[in-house]
Amino acid sequence: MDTLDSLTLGFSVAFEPTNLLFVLIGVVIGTAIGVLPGLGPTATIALLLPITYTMDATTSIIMLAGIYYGSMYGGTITSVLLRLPGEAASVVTAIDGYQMTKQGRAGTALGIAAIGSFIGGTVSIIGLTFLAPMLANVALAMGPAAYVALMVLGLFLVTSIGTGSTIKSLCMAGLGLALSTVGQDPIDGSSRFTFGSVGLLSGFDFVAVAMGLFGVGELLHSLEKSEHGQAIKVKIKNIWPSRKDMKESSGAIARGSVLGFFIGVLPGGGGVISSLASYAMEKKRAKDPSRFGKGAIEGVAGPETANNASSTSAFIPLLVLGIPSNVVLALIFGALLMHGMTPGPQLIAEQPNLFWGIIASMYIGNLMLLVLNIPLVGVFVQMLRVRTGILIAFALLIVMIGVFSINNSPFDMWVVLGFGVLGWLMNKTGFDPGPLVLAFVLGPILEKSFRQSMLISGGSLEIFVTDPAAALIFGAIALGILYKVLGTRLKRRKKTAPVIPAESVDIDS
Amino acid sequence: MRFNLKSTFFTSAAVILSVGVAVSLTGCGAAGTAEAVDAGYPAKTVKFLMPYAAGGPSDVTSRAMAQCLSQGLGGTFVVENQSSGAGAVAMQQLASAKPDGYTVGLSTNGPMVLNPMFNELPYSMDDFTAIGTMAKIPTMFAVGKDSPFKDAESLFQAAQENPGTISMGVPGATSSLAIELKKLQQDFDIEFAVVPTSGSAELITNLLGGHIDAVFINDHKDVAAHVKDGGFVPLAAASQERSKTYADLPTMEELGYEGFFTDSVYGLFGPKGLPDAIVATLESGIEACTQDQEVIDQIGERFVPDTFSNAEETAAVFADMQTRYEPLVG
Repeated sequence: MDTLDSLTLGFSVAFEPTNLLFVLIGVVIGTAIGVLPGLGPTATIALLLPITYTMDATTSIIMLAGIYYGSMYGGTITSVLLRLPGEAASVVTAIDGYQMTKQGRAGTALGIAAIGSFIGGTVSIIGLTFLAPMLANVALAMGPAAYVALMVLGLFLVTSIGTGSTIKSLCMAGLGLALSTVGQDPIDGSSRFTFGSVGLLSGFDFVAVAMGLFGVGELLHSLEKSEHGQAIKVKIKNIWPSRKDMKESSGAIARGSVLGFFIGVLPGGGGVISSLASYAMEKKRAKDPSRFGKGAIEGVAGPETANNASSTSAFIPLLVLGIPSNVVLALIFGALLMHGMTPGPQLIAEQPNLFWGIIASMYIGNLMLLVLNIPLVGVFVQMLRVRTGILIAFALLIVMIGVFSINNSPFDMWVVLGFGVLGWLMNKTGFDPGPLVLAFVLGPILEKSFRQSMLISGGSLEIFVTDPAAALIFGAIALGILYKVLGTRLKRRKKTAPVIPAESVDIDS
Repeated sequence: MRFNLKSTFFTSAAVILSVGVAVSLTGCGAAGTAEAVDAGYPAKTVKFLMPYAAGGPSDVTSRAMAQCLSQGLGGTFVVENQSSGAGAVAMQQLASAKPDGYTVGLSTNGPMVLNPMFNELPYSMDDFTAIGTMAKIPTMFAVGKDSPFKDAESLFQAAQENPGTISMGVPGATSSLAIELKKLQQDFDIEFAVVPTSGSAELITNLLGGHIDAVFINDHKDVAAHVKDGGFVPLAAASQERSKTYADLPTMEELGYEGFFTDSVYGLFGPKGLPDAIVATLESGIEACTQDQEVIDQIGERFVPDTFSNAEETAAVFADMQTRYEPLVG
């Protein structure tokens, strides 16, 4: 078939010594910046752009792509070890990953994350190889109305992200939505809740908020405890997940691969949403959801798989349609422009070496990452042996530098500290940052898409039925609710004794 | 592809080094204090502020120019992206910088003119010194390939006869395209359902997917790729002159919409009170760069104006935008 011939061409490009070297450089840099909290692929690629101008176009994109998916591997490490998300897409991994560390299973968590990342990445590259043109059309089918439907679906997951009570989760989700309204109005451009602050015009930065609530909040929390009180027993022996671990995670990895792949294709989707969605899905599917938040291995395996899968499939709209689906892809778009190439519908035909070379390099890069990461797990786990005081001070310093690097903005450093204190207070009072963060991500997309839909339809809600993609998603939501309601009724009828209603409330709300 | 061992290792070493250096440098972005150096300008690093995120056409322009200015004038021009506050943070920093030529910045209509109109900001256009125009991105109206509108007249007529039913996407609520469209609607009694988006990528997705009827968009390379592919059908150019690429495409003024034009002008600015000697140095530096083939190739041939707009002309263009849009906002 044509695709296989093209792929062979791609591998002949990717196996050129220069390209091999730069795949390696890319994934090594990616892993490194993924590990450093706050410092993400966006800032790194922006810094490296000028250097890529002197390089061959294919080589430079191969390297930049390596940084992107490499950072998805690295982001897990501090999430698991310190509850400090190394990268935005690993926020949700901090929930169960850190609990696993507390139970002495840090090695297992990191091991399963590396394996899941590899599988997710590879599944997604295979999808990219064979389905790219077809899936590009899925991205186009998603208009504002469909995004509304998708975000509503996302909000249904809010309560399952939380580990505490439903009421508290809903409060936090409300707070997240409220916080997401700060900044310039997406439709009329006026400023909201900025109180004259120029820094607030673009709202709170997601990374600063997530890093503050999860990471800095936890750092403050651990400072309260005495040195003895919190010595974590780390068994470095069991890096390789046991057969039982693999069995428990295999479903999560499979679902995470597919979910991440599809979410990555959607413009505006990307790592954060894919990992949040995977976590929520795993918790919903679990026989015993109460294990989540207490070190469930699926809560690490699923999201880590999904964010890798999405970082690969995000290349589909860029390379097939010329539409960058997130900030990192926009940077890669810029790099291509500087090389005199315009990503667009003709790219595959006009630049087969570039297109297939990048795809082939991803197979190689993912393999390199797996080989690189498994032995590194043991090294990183040693980090926990560092004295708490030193570790915390150093982690905080890196967080501050990382957060600053996102927008070169000192204001964001105050934001991360502010949300750190909030996260610490929430921790004390039993409120969970998960629902807040999810609502904060979904809120702006929901608002903008809903108002765009209303502008297009002239204020009529009919658009949500007439738009095929929106109708499909809303239909699925309705079916889901119906199934749950009927399901609980049936259960009730079977058991004559009243069933504890807490569980059903949790799901239907 | 050539495989040159020496250059490969050099570049890879440079990549690794620069990550290290860049990572450590991000912590100390503040410009050092400067003694007024008139003679040997530029004698040290010049901060080149960018009010937009990296990756877009303005970023490509800044980086190409910064590199060329570094070579042409000596010194090092370092681009610093600060997209916070819709560019207001970068603009405020530029406005309050010492007028010694060691802090300059790109700006366009949005952060320079419109943002201060929409929001209460501590700066206005008067706080800057214009230096010259680096690039100019034209704008156009376009529809999808299956659109019932085959020309601009039928599109505008339909919007006039059925007010508010035809959706027209624009890049952002405070973009000059959105304001210019508002002006068109007022002056000629046309009413579109105007749909602000977060930029060109979203506009392209929505037009190709058939979610909106038409777009008013920056006619950059990304759009050109879709015109070439047939997914986009351009209906009218919204610059004062016809586009070089689409010579058959009428301008809005030719179609009878008198006074309707907008381009995204990428000007270089310094803080207010920039000494004339420094302005002159930078001005001639940009002029030389706009004729440099490498810069032209990077930015794109049709986006670099053939005739250079100097400091005075650039200032006039922005002052004109101010007077045009002031009555429309607020």
